[in-house]
Amino acid sequence: MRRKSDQGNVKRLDPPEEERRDYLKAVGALVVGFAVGGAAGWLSKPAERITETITETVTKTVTAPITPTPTPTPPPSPTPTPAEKITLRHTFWAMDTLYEQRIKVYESLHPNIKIEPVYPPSGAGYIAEYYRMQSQIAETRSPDLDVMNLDIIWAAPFNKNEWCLDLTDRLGAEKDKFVPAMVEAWTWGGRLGGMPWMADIGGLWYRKDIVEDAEGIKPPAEGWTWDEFVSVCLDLKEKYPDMSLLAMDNNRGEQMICNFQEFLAGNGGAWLDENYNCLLADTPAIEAAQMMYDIVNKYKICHPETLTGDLEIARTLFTDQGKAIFHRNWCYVWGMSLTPDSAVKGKIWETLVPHFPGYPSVHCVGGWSWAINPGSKHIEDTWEYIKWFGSYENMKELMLMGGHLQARLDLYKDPDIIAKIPIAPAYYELYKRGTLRPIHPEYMTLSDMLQTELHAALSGMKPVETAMNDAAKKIADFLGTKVVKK
Amino acid sequence: MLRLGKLAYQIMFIVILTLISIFYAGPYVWLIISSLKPSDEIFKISLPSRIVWDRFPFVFFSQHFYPTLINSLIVCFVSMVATLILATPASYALVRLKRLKLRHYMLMLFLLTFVFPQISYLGYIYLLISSAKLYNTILGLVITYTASQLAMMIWLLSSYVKGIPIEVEEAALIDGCDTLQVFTRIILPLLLPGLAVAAIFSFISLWGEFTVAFSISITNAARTVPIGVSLFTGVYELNWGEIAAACTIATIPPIILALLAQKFIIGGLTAGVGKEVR
Amino acid sequence: MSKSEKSQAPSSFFRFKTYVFILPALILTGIFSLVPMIYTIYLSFVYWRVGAGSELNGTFLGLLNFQRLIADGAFINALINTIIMGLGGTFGIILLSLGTALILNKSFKGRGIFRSIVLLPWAIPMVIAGRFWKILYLPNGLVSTLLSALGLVESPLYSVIGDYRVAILSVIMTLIWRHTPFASLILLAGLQSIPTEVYDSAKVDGASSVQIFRYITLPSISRFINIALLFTNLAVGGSMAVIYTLTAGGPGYATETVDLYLYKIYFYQWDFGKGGAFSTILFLWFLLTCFPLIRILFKQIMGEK
Repeated sequence: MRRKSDQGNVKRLDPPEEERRDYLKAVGALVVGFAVGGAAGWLSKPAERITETITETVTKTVTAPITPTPTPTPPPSPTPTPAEKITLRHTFWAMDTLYEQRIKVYESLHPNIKIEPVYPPSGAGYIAEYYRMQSQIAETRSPDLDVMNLDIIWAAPFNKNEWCLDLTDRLGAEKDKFVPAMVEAWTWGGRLGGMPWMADIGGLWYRKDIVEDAEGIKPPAEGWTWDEFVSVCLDLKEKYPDMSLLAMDNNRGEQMICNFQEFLAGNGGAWLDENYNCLLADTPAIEAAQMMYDIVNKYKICHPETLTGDLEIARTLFTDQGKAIFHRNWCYVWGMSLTPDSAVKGKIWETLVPHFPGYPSVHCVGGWSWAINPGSKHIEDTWEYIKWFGSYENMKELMLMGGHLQARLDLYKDPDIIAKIPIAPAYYELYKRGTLRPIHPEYMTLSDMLQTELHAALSGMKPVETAMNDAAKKIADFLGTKVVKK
Repeated sequence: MLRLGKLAYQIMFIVILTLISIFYAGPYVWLIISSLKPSDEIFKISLPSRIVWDRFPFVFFSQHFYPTLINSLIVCFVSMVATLILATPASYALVRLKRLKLRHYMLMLFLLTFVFPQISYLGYIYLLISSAKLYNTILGLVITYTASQLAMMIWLLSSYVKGIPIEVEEAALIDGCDTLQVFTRIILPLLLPGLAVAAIFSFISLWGEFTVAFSISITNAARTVPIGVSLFTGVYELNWGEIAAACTIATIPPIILALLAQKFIIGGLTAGVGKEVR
Repeated sequence: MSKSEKSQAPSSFFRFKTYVFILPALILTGIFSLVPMIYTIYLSFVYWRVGAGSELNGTFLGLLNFQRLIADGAFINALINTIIMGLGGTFGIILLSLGTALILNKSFKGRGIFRSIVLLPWAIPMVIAGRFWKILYLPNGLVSTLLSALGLVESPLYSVIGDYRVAILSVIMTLIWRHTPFASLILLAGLQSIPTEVYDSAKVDGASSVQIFRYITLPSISRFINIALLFTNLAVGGSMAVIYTLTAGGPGYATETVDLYLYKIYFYQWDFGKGGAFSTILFLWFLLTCFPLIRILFKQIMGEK
């Protein structure tokens, strides 16, 4: 057998001594460096000073109204001569031909303005990138974007960091015409950062033909309680064994938190109290989480596959394949049920999400709003554009064309709209029962912490109570407050 | 006995070969099949009942997609060329020009920056490109991509340069060439396989880059193909069929490149990297 | 020779021509990589948050950022997940790429096709790979159907990425699929650099295939295995896009890696101080794990000095 060293071009397997020595030298240098740095840090004793200031910054700036940094009054934009073309850049939350048609209408009304829509990458996985893109443009006051399209959960961070223009004076009393929950979310720290545009509210969709017509079950006017709903479902399960009972999206993402918000608020619970202490370890929250767990794992009303699925998978199950009886989703399901792909045209209706005994049904409010980038070079033109797009007429036109629901409450009482969308009055009722996820500048992190723990509980990684306790502790530690059990 | 052993060995070889091939190619083949299936069958494990051809023209000519394809082609190609132009002299200098002081530290620098987590650069890159008024331009993308690939290319090319025997250079120097002539006349031609490998590697790495591209581009003036592919949703529905078609189209250039150049890649890597073992 | 005389001239240090070769690359790397690296390391020792109300930005904090990070359970979890993924991924990649390289080294009919197939996963962008692997992993997807057909799980409804015990294996599988081609190429280069005389003489000496593999092949390519390890280590550590598309952190926190968590600290919390500390820790971690390999490469390139 040839010895290894006999092969001319084979290196020995053991590293030569000097390599080992160098490695140890490098490790030693790192250790020494850390020791020195740590000693220096220790000696300068910043820790005590800073920990309090950090907590103060996080919590106190939340409570105190913002003294707006005086934005220098922009020089009056010269009325553009017809030759001067302005381009307004505008983020949209998704590609939509309807909006592009309305944009063309606006461009024809204002020949010197060109609107350039910007589309974000799709899918829940890229929402964070969309948020980052708009935040970094707003933070650096760059003129690359004029109109920002923002989710309701970004309202507080954008307000706190002054990443959107204060629209209080511009909107004025008009703001009362919008969905109150959205306006409430956008009013933070004494400023109104966004104008609501597209409203989303959750609801329980169901197959009218099965539930009401075939089985004769009429959903109660105040909504079922969860126990009642579970027994209804278990009855239906025996009669329709090949249908899914409740199609929901419980994937680890924001959608799951929206669902949880309805459980939580439907039990009278909340995330934070007035002093930003965390209430998620309290009984209402634990009961809510437990019910969510039971629905998936104990009663199996909701398939465990919803834990990794997608909202779209759940919806296609309900509308396109017609294989689900109940479906918790936002309002766009109505429009989806009327497309050619749908198998449930005219067979669905929406009712209230179940609640816990003693508390009313509440529905999570979502939605997207317009905001103006403070660094935009054409603030007045942008405001005119938003005003037009968010006007009653334009919104009505959009809804009649089959677009997403808009955020003006009066629309839902408009006879033309009711004629086209018979379910509109139901939405009006739902908006009155809206619940919001916490309006806090650090909401993205809070949500992520709760998502982690709650999804772990739903997947069976840890018991529900432990998960909620952990989540509460994480949130409280992050905010510098305490976990409170009432 | 020997014969049986050989046959069994051959059969085992074929089985392993097939399994590995299915593993590597399977998902991609499935992607192509998905893009041709009718939409309600996409999530089912079945061959398409009928072939839906119209997705491809729709996706390709959609105004949101083909600009990104063109942008990607331009950006990746130009970055690849620029990186080579910058990295080749640099690697030659680091390896051969002994009178370059501090060259050890420079090489270590290139190696170190390669190791640092990329996420921490995102905010800085945005700030840099934005203040240079290069936001949403192809030039901004090209510069950023070139800079990001430099460390890797220098590393790669250095081993090829090392593989060129120093006698060749010394002969040229004796014959009266100065450094630049040695570089252009002697080194470059010998380095061609290495350059080819580096070019292909660079192109394919850049083709799939998403996060940095998303940070510094906002409209189809500068958006690249990974972003373009992800735009295929309707307002609500995730059009898996269209996304699959877009993915298929988006993967055609790098795959064609990889297939055309596979002999090159494999041969080139051998020639360069193999020479180190000395 | 005039050239060598010139090179010995005292002003040789400032000889412009020498530096012009490397100056552009150096400047570009300096601006785009060195400056942010140093700045990030600086930020790890101060308080820095993006957004309004940042009067405290720049306050020296010593090691407080690091302390808060290490005390953070999510950080430890992310680290553990990354280590598992790194070990599993690297192990799988090396095994599979070794096998692939050995196969590629032989000449057989259809080798060209096989080579093309092997290059496929490398050519496909990461984000796209993430998307369609996710579909494969869904309940009733390809993987679940296969597993239930093989009898390993009860029904095709089983979701490989929904089960927190195996989710990380699914991610590892995708990473292996994606990174094996390049590793195979590197190992193939190593295999092809072994002259055939070595094998011939070993066979003459009566060595069996296994012995040849263990005592000749493996040692010869140990250097290349090192290089492949280095690249896969870095690739797994920087795989945020794939993991986000696949599991978004997984059931609960089962697949949340350092990359993903780093992204959240930077762009959810906008805490660049803590993010800087995290980046520094990651940098040191990569340095330590890759240091022997970096050193070997460095020695190779710089040669006898």
